[in-house]
Amino acid sequence: MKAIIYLIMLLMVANIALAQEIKVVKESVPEIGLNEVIEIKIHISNSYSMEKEFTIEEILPQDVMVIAPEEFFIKKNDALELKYYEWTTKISPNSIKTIMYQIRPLSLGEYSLGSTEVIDKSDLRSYSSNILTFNVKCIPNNKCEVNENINTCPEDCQSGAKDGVCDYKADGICDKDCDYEPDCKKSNFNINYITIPLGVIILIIILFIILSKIFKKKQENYKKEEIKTDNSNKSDAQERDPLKGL
Amino acid sequence: MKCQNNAWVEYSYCQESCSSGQCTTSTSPTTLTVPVTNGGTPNQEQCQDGTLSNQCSITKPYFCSNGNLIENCNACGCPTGKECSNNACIIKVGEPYDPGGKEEKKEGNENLLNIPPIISPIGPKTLKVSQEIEFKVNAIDSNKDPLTFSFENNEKRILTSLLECSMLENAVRCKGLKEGEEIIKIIVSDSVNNVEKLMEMNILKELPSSDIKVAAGLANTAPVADAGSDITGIPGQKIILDASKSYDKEGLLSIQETYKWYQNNELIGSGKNIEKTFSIGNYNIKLVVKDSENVISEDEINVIIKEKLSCKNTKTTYYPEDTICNNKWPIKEGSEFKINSLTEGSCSLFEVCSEDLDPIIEDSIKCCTEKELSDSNKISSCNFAIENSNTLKNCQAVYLIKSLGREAVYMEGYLDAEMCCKGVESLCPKESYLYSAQPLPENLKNKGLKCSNNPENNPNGIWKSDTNLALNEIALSDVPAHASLNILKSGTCVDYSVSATTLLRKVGFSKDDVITIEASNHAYNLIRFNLDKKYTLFDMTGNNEGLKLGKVPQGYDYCQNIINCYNDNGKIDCPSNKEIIGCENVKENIGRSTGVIGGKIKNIILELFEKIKAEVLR
Repeated sequence: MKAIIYLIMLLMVANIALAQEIKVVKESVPEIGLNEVIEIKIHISNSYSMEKEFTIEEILPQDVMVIAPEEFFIKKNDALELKYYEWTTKISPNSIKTIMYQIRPLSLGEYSLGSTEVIDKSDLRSYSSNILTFNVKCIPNNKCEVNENINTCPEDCQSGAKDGVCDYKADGICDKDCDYEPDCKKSNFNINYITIPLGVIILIIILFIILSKIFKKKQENYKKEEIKTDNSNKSDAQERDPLKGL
Repeated sequence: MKCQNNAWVEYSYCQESCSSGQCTTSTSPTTLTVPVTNGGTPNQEQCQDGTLSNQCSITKPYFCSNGNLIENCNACGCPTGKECSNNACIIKVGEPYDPGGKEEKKEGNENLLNIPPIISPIGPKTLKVSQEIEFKVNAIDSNKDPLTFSFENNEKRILTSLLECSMLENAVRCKGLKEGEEIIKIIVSDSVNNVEKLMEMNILKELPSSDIKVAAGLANTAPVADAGSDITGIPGQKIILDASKSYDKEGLLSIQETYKWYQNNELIGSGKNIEKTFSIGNYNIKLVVKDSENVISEDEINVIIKEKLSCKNTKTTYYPEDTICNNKWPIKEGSEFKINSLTEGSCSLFEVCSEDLDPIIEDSIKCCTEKELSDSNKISSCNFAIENSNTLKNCQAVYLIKSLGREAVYMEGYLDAEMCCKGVESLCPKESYLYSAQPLPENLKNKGLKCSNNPENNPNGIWKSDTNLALNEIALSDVPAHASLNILKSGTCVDYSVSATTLLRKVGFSKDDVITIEASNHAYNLIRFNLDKKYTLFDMTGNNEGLKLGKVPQGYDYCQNIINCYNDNGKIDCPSNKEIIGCENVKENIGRSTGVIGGKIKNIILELFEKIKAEVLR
């Protein structure tokens, strides 16, 4: 019986504790166009019966322009510079505070905003929000531009476009970003199979010509020397010939 | 400012030499290289970014002086968020401020605290006229609210000119009525928020077979089955048979029976990918792909199950075949090198043999084989992976990379304490933290992580114990992957990069396809995804949003600063910028360790030798 009473009491305490939770929820629209400003809302609830003061840290994505509030901070993670907001705010008992900020994303595709970290100044307990993702759509202009690809701008970048993304699809267009694709006929012929043996043969021929020339030259020199020595022998013999000049 | 060779000083890295307490490396971050014009003389008129001599660059605080960009904030000012002090830009230290905002009573406004449900991706579906297909819509709600599923206008049934669909709980059944393409909207509601997902339906008409003489494009073409490459595994390992490279010009039907897997002519499963375990032996597996007109195509692969040839001394199930490693930390194995601190061998840093990391690989399999991932933190990485990859292996890789990013699934934040302990002022949030193991994330507080450094004695730390954290000196230590992912759950750039490389190698990417890059003052990664020609560069440091498919992420001169490359096989040759997506036109760092020419010649000779050998044997 006692055990049941304790259990009920424990459940009641747990319920009160749960009711007093600090909750942080982040929201935005799921999609915007390029060059548009997105507004992010952070809702923080204070379920306690007393006013609470919090510090809030919100890390901003890399590729954005900060619109409002204008004052942000920068910190370094190794060589990476991170823009972030650091705020303090007071929230009345049993209230929800909504803080808003605006950024302009500078590239296309999916953006993720990590958890907002909220610290209760009274006990230094930390609370995190949900992760928020939103998509930045391209403005189609029938040109697949430098920062667009089939994932971020399928309207402009058709399958097979050279956009850095391999689109593996049997659609009759060879995607040059792929190493292997149904429409790209991979030739087994490698030009090196011809050039290298040919190079080696040419090298051997050149070497043969050079060597034969050297050999020929040596032979000629030898012959010349032989003739020379023959002639000198003859002249020597003539010099020594007592009948010379007769 | 003092420095040591091969160590960090401030936020730069003394790669080559240190003289009179200053880095003298050619890759000093404040000295930008100047393009050399014909004849080798620098262009005196302007700097590399086009700034004219004796003028400020648009990139603050750079000033163009004799063809060199130099920092001069006295003349050019600082970028937003920084202020000029002694002609150097330092981060403006400001006080947190009140951003204002709107306050409302909680009662009656609870809806503001609702987190909308998240719908898992629903790929395009293909069906035939008069054919029925069935599939499920998976969604998750962080608040655990009950979810309702419907079509537009809360309808449970839709009828268009092309198809007819009905919804029962989260199961959708559709029947094709007429050929064509249709987009249908699926709505999931938690009673507060409605979330919608658009789904592409492709209804195929009946086509005559290609042997009947009809005009080109009007006849059915045969499908092409592709079961991938041969698979090597160990007894008890879950082998995933993946048919995602199979295709058909008309489109393959979105039913399990399109793909059938046989072993010795016995059906072992249906579906694009199936999981199976085998005992020791060689198995011939046949994939049969059937298209909408019942034309079939077959492909075979061998599944070779044998005792481990690598990672022999650990119990890991997921490991790369082409690793030199047999052990994990703390056994010294592999070549020693130094990124920040000296490794105990490449295998104890890039722990591809660690079984402690297997559960993370299993998460990636769960995500990509479309089994539900119950953790709401993982769902966003998983959804991105499914939507942005074309093979199972690529899906696993994208999931793992994204989970180290903003989603912070396995590692969270940046471990400032490593830099503070080392006394790196520019990377330490408070002066009072210098030369101490502070600040630490919640999970590491009061665990005894140690910092014995002081300005006079300032060595880099080393990981010594998993159980007694007080034995570990934290100053800028390069931590083994298992410790970064499972114990510290945080790290600096090298730790994030090493963790990513280790996990991707465990998925099965080859030694040439996954690389940790050491740059002049940073570390990040390269991966060559399955089917891709070039490498994709990514940087997840401190949960950075650093994977941008098809381009290079923002925030650092990634292409220019690559110096050395590593993975579990030790120091390896770095690819050239021409091989990295988005880096093609960027000049490479002079100090980059690359074996491009040597490697290419070696490959050509090896290829030639193999060809000749095969010809001779034939």
